[in-house]
Amino acid sequence: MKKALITGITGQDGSYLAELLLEKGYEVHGIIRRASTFNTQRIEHLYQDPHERNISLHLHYGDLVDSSNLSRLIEKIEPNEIYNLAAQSHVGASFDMPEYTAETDAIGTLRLLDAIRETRIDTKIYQASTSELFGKIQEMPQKETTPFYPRSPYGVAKLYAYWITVNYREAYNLFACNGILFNHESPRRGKRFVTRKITVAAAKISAGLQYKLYLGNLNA
Amino acid sequence: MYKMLQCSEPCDLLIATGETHTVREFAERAFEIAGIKLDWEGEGVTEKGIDRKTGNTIVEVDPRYFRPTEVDILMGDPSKAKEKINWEPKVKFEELVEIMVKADIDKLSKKGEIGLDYL
Repeated sequence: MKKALITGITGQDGSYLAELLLEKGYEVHGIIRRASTFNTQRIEHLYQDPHERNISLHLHYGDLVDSSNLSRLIEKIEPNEIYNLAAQSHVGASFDMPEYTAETDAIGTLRLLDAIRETRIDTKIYQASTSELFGKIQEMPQKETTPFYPRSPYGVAKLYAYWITVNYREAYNLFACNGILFNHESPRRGKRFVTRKITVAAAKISAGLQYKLYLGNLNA
Repeated sequence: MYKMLQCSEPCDLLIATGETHTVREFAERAFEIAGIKLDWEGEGVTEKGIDRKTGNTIVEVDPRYFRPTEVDILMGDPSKAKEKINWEPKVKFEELVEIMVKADIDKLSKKGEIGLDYL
């Protein structure tokens, strides 16, 4: 049975990926951040009681800002595939928390890659890269070969993560891939992202439960 | 993501629809699905979205959501993903907005609320 480790399993993409991998018969391990607020709503339907035998979903406390925790988890789990989806993923919030965003999104990716290198396990890694790398666009449409020009602390942090992933692939022969995903939305999108904020407002305003929706740049 | 790790060689791929849409279009379509026609009036920070039927202003611009630096209109070409991992978008803009609005309407009618967010 193949084993996968997902950082960011509690998020939109992580929860869908966990579903897919469980369907394919993977043993799925997810890292969740300890928080006083409940943050596992998106994987509630997948949860399996660790007291049962032969469960295929395992959750571990961890964080991309904690190197020894990452090494320990990778060593213990020995995943065949790692999906790095954890991040401070809100572009707007990255202007308020630039250092934290860099710590998690940029250095966090390095920590994960280094944990693989240190523990020497044979694994593949997927890095969640983003269209925010293109920011001030240099070419229309954007392709894999289009030069990057990020326009937010989030984009800049993800730029580091992109290149360190490429570097570890080339330097240490690691099977590492960047998926440069453009906007991808769903009913599981966080409610503070503009698309979901709009769909929640449309539902509430039409039901008479909200009066107004405030937006930023309408032409974005 | 899964498909990329099943390739014979590691590579970097762009995943996109090849389309581009603005926040304005998203809002228009979302309200339309919820049964509200939006008319825009004014410009810039004073631009407003008005419910055609009731005349109420239901969308306003709040500059606090503006970003110090904004990205341009992004539009990705997914042809390499098609070639390397045979990936193509299944759901595009119109259908996506519909799925999202209907899911929120459904959640609201079943639970009476969708959850609070203050920011």
